[in-house]
Amino acid sequence: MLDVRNVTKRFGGLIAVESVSFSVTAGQIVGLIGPNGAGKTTLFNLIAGALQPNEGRIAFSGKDITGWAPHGICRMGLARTFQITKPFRRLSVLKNVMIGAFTSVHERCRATELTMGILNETGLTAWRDTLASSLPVGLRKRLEIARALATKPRMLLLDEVMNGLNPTELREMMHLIRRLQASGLTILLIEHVMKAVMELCHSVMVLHHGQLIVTGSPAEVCADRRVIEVYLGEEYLLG
Amino acid sequence: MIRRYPNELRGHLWPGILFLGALIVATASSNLFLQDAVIVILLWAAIASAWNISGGFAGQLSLGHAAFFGLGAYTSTLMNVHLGLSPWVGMLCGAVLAAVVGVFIGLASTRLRGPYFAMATIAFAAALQVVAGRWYSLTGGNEGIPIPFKVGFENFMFSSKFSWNIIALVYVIAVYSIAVWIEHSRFGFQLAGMRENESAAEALGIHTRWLKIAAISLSAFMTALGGTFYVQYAGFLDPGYVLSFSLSIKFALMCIIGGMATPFGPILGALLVTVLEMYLRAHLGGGSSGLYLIVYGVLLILVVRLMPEGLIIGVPKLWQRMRASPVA
Repeated sequence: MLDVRNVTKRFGGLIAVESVSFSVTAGQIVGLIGPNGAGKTTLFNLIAGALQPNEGRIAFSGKDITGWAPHGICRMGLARTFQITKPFRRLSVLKNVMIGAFTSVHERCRATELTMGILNETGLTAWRDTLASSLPVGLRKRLEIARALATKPRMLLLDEVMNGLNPTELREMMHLIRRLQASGLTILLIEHVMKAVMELCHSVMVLHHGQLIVTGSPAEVCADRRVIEVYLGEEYLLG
Repeated sequence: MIRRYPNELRGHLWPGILFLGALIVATASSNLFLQDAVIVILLWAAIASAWNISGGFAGQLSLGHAAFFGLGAYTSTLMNVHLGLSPWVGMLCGAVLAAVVGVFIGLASTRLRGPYFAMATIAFAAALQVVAGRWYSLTGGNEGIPIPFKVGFENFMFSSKFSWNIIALVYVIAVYSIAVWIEHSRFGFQLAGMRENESAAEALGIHTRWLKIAAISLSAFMTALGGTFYVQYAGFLDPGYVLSFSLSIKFALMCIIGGMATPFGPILGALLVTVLEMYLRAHLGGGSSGLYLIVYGVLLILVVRLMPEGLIIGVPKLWQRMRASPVA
């Protein structure tokens, strides 16, 4: 589905992402973890077209999308959310999602229909007339996903959608992600909430100083000595 | 805690009343001053609405829209004076020319953001004013051009205020309809997304560069139509006025005061600003001719400080708040 080959991104002298290669199989949920500043979000920005790589190629469903603009990549069926949520603040939740829906359908009535379905699916129906700026953080994360879903993607890039959620919200979010996967979406997610990563992901990649150091099943990754050293910490092993 | 979506003045009730009122004045009134006032208000309302497409809906704050206004005025006038073509033809040509120029300004807007874009539009209009003032053989320089007074529909020249009024009314309803269409269309939703958060809009598959160009170009087209109307009505083309910075400011001001990115906001703004301007001119007299500019400034500061969304949203909000908490 997604194929990343030797992708490197430099900011001046700093190498944020160094020769990263991986691929994501259709229908899977893949986790991307690593300490702060490891380059996870940079890698997302490279895949989504917000940044251009200095080296390497990125292909999505068999098509080379290296150097494409963000809107083109989204229209290809690869949608993303933002870690620091970017709602259309002065618009209602409904309108926020409608704007995404107009990327996949052109007629207003069909866009409304699609939006209603997605609001329902993401549990935002009760807030549809609320201004996006007055949503609490948990709902903002859900709005990010709803908006991305409205573009009818085949693959989702989720950037820390479970951060800052309370236990109930976390459970709901994990249910939602599982449902999305069951409906045929491929998902790549950045996450710090290890419980979610362990339960959801088919495979996990660990990024450290811009390099992929380990890839494997959640259990393998958690048992890996290097991952414990750089990210999880000794307590995790003991706990 | 969670704020509800503000209750805007929905529907077309108010604009409908306003347009009907203009029509009644046009047909029933014999007061020439009143008729002239209505024509001028309708014209500025249409242009403020045209400005709104770029400055409001697309969020590309232009302070050089007099350039498009002037392009419309000059194109029709020069084609009329030099080639003997009907100003109607010239009006269309001027609007197309302005739209093409708008594409280039739109391209600039994809590189320049916020205040930098506004400054570029100021510079463009200023440059155009210098060219119009110096290119004597073509434009008649700073002396301007009198419009030949040959009454007749094909010459876009009328002896009765009624005809001017009807044309202005058609013009403003056309621009208003475009604004209403934008508000409810895919184009308008995408513009709203772009204006709220450009990178989020792009991540949702919106081609923001194309949107900006389309909005600015459409806005330029509709503004240029007004330029032709204005010179035909005024009977004289004055480069010191039609391409002036103060005119650009006025277009933006009317829209900001009334309420940006709403169909009726700029019309309301144009009504208030024009009436205020007429009142102040009449009562302050010639001795303090610049004083109304100070009043503009104060008005702008008050609106931006107290009702940043403009009167169209701010006043109903205030009304709601007053009803919710009655003063004991």
